[in-house]
Amino acid sequence: MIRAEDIWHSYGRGYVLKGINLEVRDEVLSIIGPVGVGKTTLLKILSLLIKPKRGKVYIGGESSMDLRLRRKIGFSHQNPFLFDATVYENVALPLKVRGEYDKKRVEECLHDFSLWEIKDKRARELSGGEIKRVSLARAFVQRPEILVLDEPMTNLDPEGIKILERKIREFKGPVIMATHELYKARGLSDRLLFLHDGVIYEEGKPEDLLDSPKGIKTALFSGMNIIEGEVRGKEEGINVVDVGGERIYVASERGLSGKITLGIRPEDVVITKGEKKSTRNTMRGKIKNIVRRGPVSEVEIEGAFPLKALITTKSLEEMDLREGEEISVLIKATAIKIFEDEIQAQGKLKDKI
Amino acid sequence: MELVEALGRALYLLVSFDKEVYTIVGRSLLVSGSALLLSSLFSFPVSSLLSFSSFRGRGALLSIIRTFYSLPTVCVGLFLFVLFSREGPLGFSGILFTPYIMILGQAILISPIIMGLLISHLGKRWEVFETALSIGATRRRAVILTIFDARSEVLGILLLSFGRAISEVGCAIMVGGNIKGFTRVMTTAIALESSKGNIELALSLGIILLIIAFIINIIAVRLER
Repeated sequence: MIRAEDIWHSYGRGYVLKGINLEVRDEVLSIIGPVGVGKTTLLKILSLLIKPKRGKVYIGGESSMDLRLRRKIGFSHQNPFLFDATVYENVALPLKVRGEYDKKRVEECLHDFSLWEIKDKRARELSGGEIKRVSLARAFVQRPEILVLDEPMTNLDPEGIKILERKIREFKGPVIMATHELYKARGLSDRLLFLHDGVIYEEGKPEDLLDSPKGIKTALFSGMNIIEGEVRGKEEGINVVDVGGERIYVASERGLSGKITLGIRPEDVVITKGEKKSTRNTMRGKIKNIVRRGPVSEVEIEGAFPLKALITTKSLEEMDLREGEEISVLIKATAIKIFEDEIQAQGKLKDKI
Repeated sequence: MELVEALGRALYLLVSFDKEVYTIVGRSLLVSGSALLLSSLFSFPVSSLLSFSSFRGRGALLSIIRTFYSLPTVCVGLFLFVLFSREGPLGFSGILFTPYIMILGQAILISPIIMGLLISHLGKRWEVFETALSIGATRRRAVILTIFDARSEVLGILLLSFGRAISEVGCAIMVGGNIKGFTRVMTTAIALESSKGNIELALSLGIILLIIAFIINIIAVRLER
């Protein structure tokens, strides 16, 4: 078990981390958030590589920057550094510095990470993906009690990702990783933590955090469409909200009033050609941009307000959608999320500062 | 013409392996090599501490080290002379006018250069140090791994410092006294012999000094590649 208690850290001006509290048991915790919010700093503090300005890290109940505790953690850097030696020597080094060199263990690890074929290659001859694999092998060969991985999937080839996913699933102990790969994190993690501006902005199960986030910042990060509007009243028990001159119907159990913020998941935005009107929220729009991302494509739509839609590339091709084309946009009233005021994290932070 | 003649005689001294010339050269290498070793024993641990630790006054210490890059050799000589003269606080040691104090003087002279450059190169390798820590190395082992990673730069620094030590004359002449067969090194011999009019010996030593500087330079350039 690893626990961080009221962690504050700064590199000079202003705090990068502002009172982080967290506890990770035998589970996979993924830390997500935009760049520069303190993910790497937090991971390095949890790995006892950086001493925080304030607060403590407990490894199995003990707190110190002691070598004995540091050796319980396997850490992999976002941009790993390999020593000027062969792949084999790099993977063996964690055992050698401990005086626990075990040829069999190193060879096993090299096979596990598909590095056996390139074991005699020198570090400078490796590709980015190979470097990442060596760095991960180096973290695993130590047989750590806790795994801390900083962006482990960045630069990793598909085979490497598969290996890593398997190794993480097999690992018995706390795994903490920072990642930008939301979909991978979703499948792999027991818990997600959204870090923003040095505080834990929101945390929860992956499906809760990504599908129905409580905070606007989490929603924006997860790719949700965020729009602002003003409640105009009710029609047949459904709230009517004016967004950029367009009437949007929003289903809500409680009564709404004044200015509100709404969230729509891109996969809930349906695109049709022609002027079909099968749901209450049917608007006209124009395709601004199409980004193909493998089996799924992102369509940017211009209309009364900007929207992003996610559709399968197959549908995109079947419908023969093109940039500049006029389309109809359909959104179910029940698919629109209403955001409360900014979540409590900010309030708590203000109290501390 | 006189210069050409002198040069010819100097070359003869070199190729005939003149005992006096080569004794002086050997002593120079021994004194400066020892100074380099002494300085390294002190400078490496201090530089490692300053590179990978943060404490109050670190910046001020770094500024002081950089200021001493261009420490005048005669100042070091004067300082040691006062300290180790018979009336001085360390006069009892009796090392004034011996090779030992010359070694000490040259070590003082090159320590700021070794420390300053080493700190600058190690400081750029924070990721190496951190990686070493993350794989379970002790701080000491992490420092060694980092220095090993910077080995070509470190060798360059050592060569540069050795060059500075072997080519200085102010300190060596003040605290060594240029005693024939005991504290006479290349630079002090060149200074004395040329003032005595013994241009051949001065020139032959000068040529050797230049050759040493040239070899050091070639090795340093190769290492940088």
